[in-house]
Amino acid sequence: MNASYSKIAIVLITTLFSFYSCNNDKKKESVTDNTIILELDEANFTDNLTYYRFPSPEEIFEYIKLTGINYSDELVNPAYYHDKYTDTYSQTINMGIYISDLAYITMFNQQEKSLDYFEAIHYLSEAIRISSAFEDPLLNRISDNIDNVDSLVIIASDAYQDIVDYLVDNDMENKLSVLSISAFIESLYITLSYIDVYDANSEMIKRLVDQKYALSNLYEYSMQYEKDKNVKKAIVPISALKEIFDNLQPEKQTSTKVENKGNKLILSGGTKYVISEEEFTKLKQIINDARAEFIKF
Amino acid sequence: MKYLLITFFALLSFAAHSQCVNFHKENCNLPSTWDYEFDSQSLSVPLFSGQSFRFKAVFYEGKDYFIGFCKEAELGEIKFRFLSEDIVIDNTYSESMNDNLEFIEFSNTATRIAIIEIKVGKTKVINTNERKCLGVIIGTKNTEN
Repeated sequence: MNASYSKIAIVLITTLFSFYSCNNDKKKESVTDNTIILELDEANFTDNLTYYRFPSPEEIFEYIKLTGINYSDELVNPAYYHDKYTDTYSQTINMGIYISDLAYITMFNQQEKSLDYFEAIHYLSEAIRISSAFEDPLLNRISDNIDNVDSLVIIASDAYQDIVDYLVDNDMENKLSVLSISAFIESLYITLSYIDVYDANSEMIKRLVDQKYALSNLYEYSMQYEKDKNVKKAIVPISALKEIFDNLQPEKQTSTKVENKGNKLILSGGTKYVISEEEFTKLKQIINDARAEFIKF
Repeated sequence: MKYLLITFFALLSFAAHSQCVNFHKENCNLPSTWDYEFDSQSLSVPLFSGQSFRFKAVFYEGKDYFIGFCKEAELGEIKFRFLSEDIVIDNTYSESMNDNLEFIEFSNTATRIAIIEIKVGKTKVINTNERKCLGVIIGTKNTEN
């Protein structure tokens, strides 16, 4: 290797090292004040690498227990709109929307519709140049399992995970942030569409309130990429929702404890929050407005 | 030659970073008693020996959870801490665990956010200056009444 190539190598290595260092610094800035964090033994914990995880749309639907309710075609964004979205922002946003729609569709065993939504997601993934996220020939795998509801649910879940992994792996977490925000909004939009009348004791509303935690992690995750113009735009409704969730009043607070039962631990206690009718109406309005804005073309 | 060199280093960097994304899916040997669904909050993280990280995850009410760890041999023992309000669970796993998943299981009676801290010790056996992978598998199922 001659001297000039050595120089190139040194520059490259330095650049790569800087990339990782910057990544760490970015995470460092993102650590927020939190009473739990303040209790930690910081002397033994110095790196400050913090990751934020939040449930997938499928997991949100499963928790809120949409099952047992009738499927409604009117709640999803029609798959044939997929080519109406022509800029990166709306393509990424609507990929997230379709991911949630697909989770909803497969949950209700709408096999014949699921292929359209897989195709819409695949089309948008190509449009925003992330179609390599799918390791297997996705559409073939779906066609082979079109009559098998359980397989379709797994394929939909795998497809979501493949997209997440690909975006993380390729340092495109700004896109993941945008996509996750729209998927979250769509999940709540579909859920709220089933709640016509406010009832503080409704199990569905209580489970909706529990999404306060998922939203908190999603918000903190997205704030790491707020300098990206698309994230900055997408995060607006999430910020408004966070304000509502942050102001919810605790309904009951029981002391948290860990018990040992057999080989398993039982984690009990904690804070349950309640949403007022006014807060619920406001929350629904923010979600409906955001969703309408997201899907328009 | 110049372009070959650039490509080589670019690929090297990509490989170092990307090798971890699916580590938990491909390298952690699940226990034979595993009866959970994979939770999408599972993750793999590239770490230097001696480094630590934390992640925040959501745990829903009425669910049983499994949190397991596996790692590459170059990483040392794992100190694990689970924190949520007053709940603190501490565990230490020996550096010889590697692919063998060490785990905790719990039933969760209220939806909560938790901070999970993982500190990886320095190994005395293998020295490396590279990042190596640590995988965290989260499994979930409905709590049986």
